[in-house]
Amino acid sequence: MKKRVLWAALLVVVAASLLLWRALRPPPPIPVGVVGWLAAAAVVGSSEMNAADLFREEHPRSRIRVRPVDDQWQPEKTAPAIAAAMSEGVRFFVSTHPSNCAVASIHLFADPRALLINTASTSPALTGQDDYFFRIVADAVQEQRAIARYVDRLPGTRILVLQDESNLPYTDPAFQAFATELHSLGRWQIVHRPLMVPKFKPDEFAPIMAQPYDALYILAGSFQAAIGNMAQLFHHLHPAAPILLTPWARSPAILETAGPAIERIILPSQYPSRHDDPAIDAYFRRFHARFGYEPHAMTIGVWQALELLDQAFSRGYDTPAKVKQYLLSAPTHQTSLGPIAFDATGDVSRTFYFIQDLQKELQ
Amino acid sequence: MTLFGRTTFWRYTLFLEIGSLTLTTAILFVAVWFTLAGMNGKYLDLRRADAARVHLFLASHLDAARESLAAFAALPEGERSPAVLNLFSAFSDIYQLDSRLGVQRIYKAASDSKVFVGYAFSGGKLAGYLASVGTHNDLSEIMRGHEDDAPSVYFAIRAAGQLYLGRLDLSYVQNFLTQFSRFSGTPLMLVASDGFVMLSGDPALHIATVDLKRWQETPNPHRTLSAGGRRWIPMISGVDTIGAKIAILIPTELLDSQRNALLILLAAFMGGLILLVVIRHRRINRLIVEPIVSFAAKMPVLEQGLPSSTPPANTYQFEELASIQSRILEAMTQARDAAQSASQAKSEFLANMSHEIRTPLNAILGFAQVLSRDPQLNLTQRESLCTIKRSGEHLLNLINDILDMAKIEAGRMAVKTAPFDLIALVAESQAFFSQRAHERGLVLTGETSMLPRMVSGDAVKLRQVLINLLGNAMKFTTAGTVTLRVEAAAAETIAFSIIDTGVGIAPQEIERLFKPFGQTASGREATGGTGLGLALSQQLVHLMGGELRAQSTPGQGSRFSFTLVLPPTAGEATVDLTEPPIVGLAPGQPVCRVLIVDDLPDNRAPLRALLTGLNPQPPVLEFQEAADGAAAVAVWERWQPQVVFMDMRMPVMSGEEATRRIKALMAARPQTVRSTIVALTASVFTDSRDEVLACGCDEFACKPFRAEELFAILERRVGLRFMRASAPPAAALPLSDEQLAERLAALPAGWRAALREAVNLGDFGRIGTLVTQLGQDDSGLRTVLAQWAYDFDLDAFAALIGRADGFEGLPS
Repeated sequence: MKKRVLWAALLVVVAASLLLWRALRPPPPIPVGVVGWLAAAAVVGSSEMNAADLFREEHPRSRIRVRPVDDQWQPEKTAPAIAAAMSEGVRFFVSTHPSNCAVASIHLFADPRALLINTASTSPALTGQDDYFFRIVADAVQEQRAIARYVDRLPGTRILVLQDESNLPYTDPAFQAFATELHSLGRWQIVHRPLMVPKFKPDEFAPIMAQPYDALYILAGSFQAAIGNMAQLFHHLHPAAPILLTPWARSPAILETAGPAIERIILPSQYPSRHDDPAIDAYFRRFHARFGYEPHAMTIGVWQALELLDQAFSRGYDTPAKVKQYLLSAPTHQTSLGPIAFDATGDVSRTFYFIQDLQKELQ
Repeated sequence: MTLFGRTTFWRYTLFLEIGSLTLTTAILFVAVWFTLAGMNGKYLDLRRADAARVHLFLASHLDAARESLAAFAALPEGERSPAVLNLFSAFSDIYQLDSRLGVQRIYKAASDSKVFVGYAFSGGKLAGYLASVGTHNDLSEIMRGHEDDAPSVYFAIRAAGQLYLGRLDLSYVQNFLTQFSRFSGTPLMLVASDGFVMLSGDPALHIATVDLKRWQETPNPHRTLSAGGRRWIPMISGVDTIGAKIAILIPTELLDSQRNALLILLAAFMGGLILLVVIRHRRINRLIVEPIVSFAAKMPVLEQGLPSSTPPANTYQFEELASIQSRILEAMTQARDAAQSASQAKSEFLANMSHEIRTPLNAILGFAQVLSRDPQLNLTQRESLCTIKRSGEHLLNLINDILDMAKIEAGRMAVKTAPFDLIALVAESQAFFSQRAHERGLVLTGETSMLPRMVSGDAVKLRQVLINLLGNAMKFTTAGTVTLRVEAAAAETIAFSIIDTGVGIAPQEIERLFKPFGQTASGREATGGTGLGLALSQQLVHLMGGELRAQSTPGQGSRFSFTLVLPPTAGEATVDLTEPPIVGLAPGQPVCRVLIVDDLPDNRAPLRALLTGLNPQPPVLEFQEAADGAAAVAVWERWQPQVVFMDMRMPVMSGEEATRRIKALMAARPQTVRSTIVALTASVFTDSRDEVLACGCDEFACKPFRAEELFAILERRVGLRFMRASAPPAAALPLSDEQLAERLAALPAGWRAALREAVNLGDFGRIGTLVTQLGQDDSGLRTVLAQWAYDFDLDAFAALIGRADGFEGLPS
C-alpha cells in the first residue's frame, strides 16, 4: 500500500513537472534565412551576416535563428538557393541581393509558404504586388526622382550618366525615371553612356569623360569598388564637377578608390548621415567595435528587418500569413534605427538625404 | 549495513557491484579524458608548427620580392624596358608616385587594372601604408587592390628621391596555399585584420570572414566551426611580414576518430565489465543466494514440523553451504520429530482427558437430568440438583473450550457454511442474556440495521462468538448498558459490535487480551473464567474470515467488533418455536427395545434411568445392556433391538467394530429389525462426527448426553411419540435492586453475616448452601441469589450486601 502511494506520488510529480515544463519552456526558435553574397570575402555579404550575428548577440531571447542563404547575387542561383532553404523549413527571409536577383525569385513569395523582407532591391517590377514580398527601401522611381530633383539644383547644364549594365532590372527603370524627371525639369542635358562597371577601363573612358561636363552621375549599385576609380578619373578631368552616386554605392570601398574625388562625391541615402542620427551612428560604432570594420549601409536595413520579424515572433505571430497581417496592421512600425511604414502592398516610401562629406561619413 | 538497516544479501552484493562499476567508470573516464587532452594538445602543436613553417616560407618569398623592387628602383630609367620589367615577375603592378601619392608613371600593370596616370592612392588603408614608407621595410596589409578589387599586398620603396609602389603578384602565394591545403588536409587562409578572408587554400569552403575576436584564442578541440560539411578547429596566427593573419583550419576528423576509438574502447571495456559482473552476480545469486533464500523459505515449514514438509535437496556446489544445510537439517529434523511427538502426546492427552472427564460427567449430568425430571423433589433437593448440573455444565464448557482451542491449533476445525437466519441468531443471542441482564440491572439492547434475513455462514461458530463476547460484557459491566450492534457494512459484509459500559481494559493489556490463558487485571479480579474465551473467539472469527478487534477506555467501557462476509442467500426464515419439555412417552405405542452398550456401568445407568423415567404403564421401552462390542453383537442377534446406544471406546470390541458387524448382519438378514445405532462418545477430539457416522452409526451424540437431544433422535429415528408439559414454567417476577436489598436486610443478621463472609472468601459452595437455607420464605430473592451463584457473580452479591447494609440503618 505504501509503495503504491509512493509510486502514485512519483507519477503525479512527474506529470506535474511535464506540465510545468510545457507551460514554461521557451517557444521554439524560428529560422530566418539571410540571403546575400555570403562568400564574397568583402564587406558585401560579410556585413549582412555580421549584422545578423550582432542582432542575435544583442537579442539573446529572440526566437530568430539566422540561416545563411548564399545566392552569390547571381539571379540564376537566387531562386534555387531560397527554394532549398524553404525545403528545409525556413519560412522567413531577409535579402540584400540586387533587383535582378529579387525579380528572379519573387514568385516564391506569391503565397503564404514564405515571407521575405528585402532591404536592397528597388526595381519597380517589385512594386505594388499583394504578395509576401516586403521591401523596406523605396523603389527606384522614387529614388531617381529625388536624385533628379537634387541634380536640378546643381549649377550647370550637361551631365554625364554612366549606367551600369550588370544590373539592368535596377538601372534601366532607374535611368528612365531619372531622365524623365530631369527632362521634365528642363535645364539639364543628359549624356548617357552604358557600361559594365566591373569591366571599367580608364583608357576607354578617359576620352569620353574628357568632354565638357558639369556633373557626373554613376548609376550603379552593388557597392562596387570600381565606382571609386570611375569617380577619380572624372575628378581628374573635371576637378570642380560634382559626382553623384546611387544609395547603393555607400561602401567604405568607395573611400579607398575614389581618392581626392571623395570631396566632390554626393551620396544619396535613404538614411540620414550618421552624424545627424545618433542611433545609426551608435549602430555603426557597435558593429565596428565587434567586427573591426565599417559595414555597408544595407546592414541598417537588415537590422530593421530582423527587428520587425522579432517583434512579430514575440507577439506569437509565427507563420508568414500572420506576420504579413501584423506588418500591414499598423501604419508605422518603430525600430531602433528608424520607423518603417508599409503601404497596403508591403512597399515603403522614403525621404532621401544627400550626404556631401563622404570622407567623414565613411571614415 | 546495520547503519542503513538490514537488507538482503542479493541487494547488498548488487549495491557493491554497482558502486564498484561506477567507480571504475569514473576512473576510466578521467583517464580517457586526460589521454584525449594530451593527444589533442600534441596534435594541435604539430599543426602550430606547420603554421610556423608556412610563415617562414612566405617570408622568404616576400624577402625576395622586396629585394627585387629594390633592384628595380636602382635601375636607371633607360634600362626599365618592357623586357626587363618582365623579369620582375614578383610584382603584377609597379608605379612611380608623386608626393601626393598620385601615379606619375606606370611601369607595369595588370591587364584589367583600373588605375591610370594621375590616379591617387590617397584613400583608405593603402594611403596609410604609403605614409609610413621609409620608417620600416614592411609590406602593406593585405587588402582589395585598387586596380581590380582583387586581394593585394603592396610594397613601396623610396629610391633616389622617388617613391616606387609595387603590387605583389599573389598568384604564387595563392598556388602555395592551394597546394599546401590540398596535401596537408588543413586549409590555409590569409585573413585581413578586419577578418575578411582574402586568400583561401580551399575556396570551396566559402568562408568569407573569420570572427577574429571569437577564434583568436588558443585553439581548442571543443571550439569548432562548420564549413563544407565538416568541422574545423580554427587556429589564427598573428600578423606577420606578409601583412595578413594566417588562419589554419584543422580538421577534427582525426581527433574525432581518436576520441571515438577511445570511447568505443571504453564502452567495450565497460560493456565487458558489466557483462562479467552480471554473469558473476547471476552465478553468485544462483549458487549461493537462491539456495539460501530457498532454504530460508522452507525453514518455517521445517520449524513447524509438518509431516508434508520435505527437506530441500542438498545439491549445493559449495561444501560450506552443504555442510550448513546438513547440520541445520539434522537439527531441524530432531526438532520436528520432537515437536511431532509432543503434538501427538498433546493430542493423546487431550483425547484421554476429554474421555476421562466426560465419562464421570456423563454419569453426573445424566443422573442430574434424570433426577430433575422427578416431580417428587422438593425445592431444596431441586436446587441442590441444579447446583450439581450447573457445576457439571461449567466443567463441560471448560473442557469444550480447551478442545476447541486444541482443534484450532491443530488445524482440525473447519468452517461449515450453511444458510441460516441471521436476525434470529442475533435475537437468540441477545435473549440468552436478557434475563441475566435484567437481574443485574443492566440494559441489554440489540441494534440491527439493513440486515439480510438469510445468510450463508457458520451459524454455530458465530453464535459461540456472540455468546462469548456478550457473556464477557455482562460479566465486566456492573451498571449501564450492553449493546449488541449488527449492521450491514457492505454488500456481503456484516459488522458485529459488542459495546459495554463496564470497567474497561487498560491500553497496555489490549495486546495480550487475545492470548490463551491470559487475563487482564479486571479479568483476574472477576471470578470465574479461564482466559480462553476471548482467545477462542478471536480464533473462531479468524477462522470465519474476520478479525476481532478490541477498543477500550478504562472506566468507560469496551467495544469488541469484527466483520464477516456473509453472503445473502435465498431461503425461509426459521421460526423458533420453543416446545414445552418432554414429560414422558405416550402410552399405547409398540414396544421399543433399547440396547445400551457401554463398558462402564456408571454410564449405562443414567441413560437407562432417563429413558425408564419416560416409560408409561404398560411400558413402551424395554432395556438390555452390554459391556462391550462383542456382547452387543450377541445381544443384537438374540434380541433384535430397535435402538442401540453404542459407546465407541470399549474393551474387547470397539463400538465402531460392533456397529460394522451389526450393520453387516442387518444387511445379511433383510427380515430382521432395522436397528438405529446411536453413537455415544466422550472422545470428541479424536472421533469426529464424520468418522463415526462412516462406520455405520445412524446418529451421533456426545457424552455427557443431553436428554432433549436423545429424545429428538428417538422421535425422529424410531418414531416414538412423547408427551410434553402443557405450558413452560412461569419465570419469577423480576425484583428491583432496592427490593432485593430491602428483602435481604430483612433476613436474620447471622445469616447475612455468613453470606458476607462467604462472598468475601469467594466460597460459592457456602453461598449455595446459604441460599438453599432461605427455603420458601422469600422465593423471589432466593431465585435471584441462586442465579447469581450459578453465574459465580460475586460482584452482584457484594453490591447487594452493600445496599442491604444501607437499608439496615433505616427505620422500619
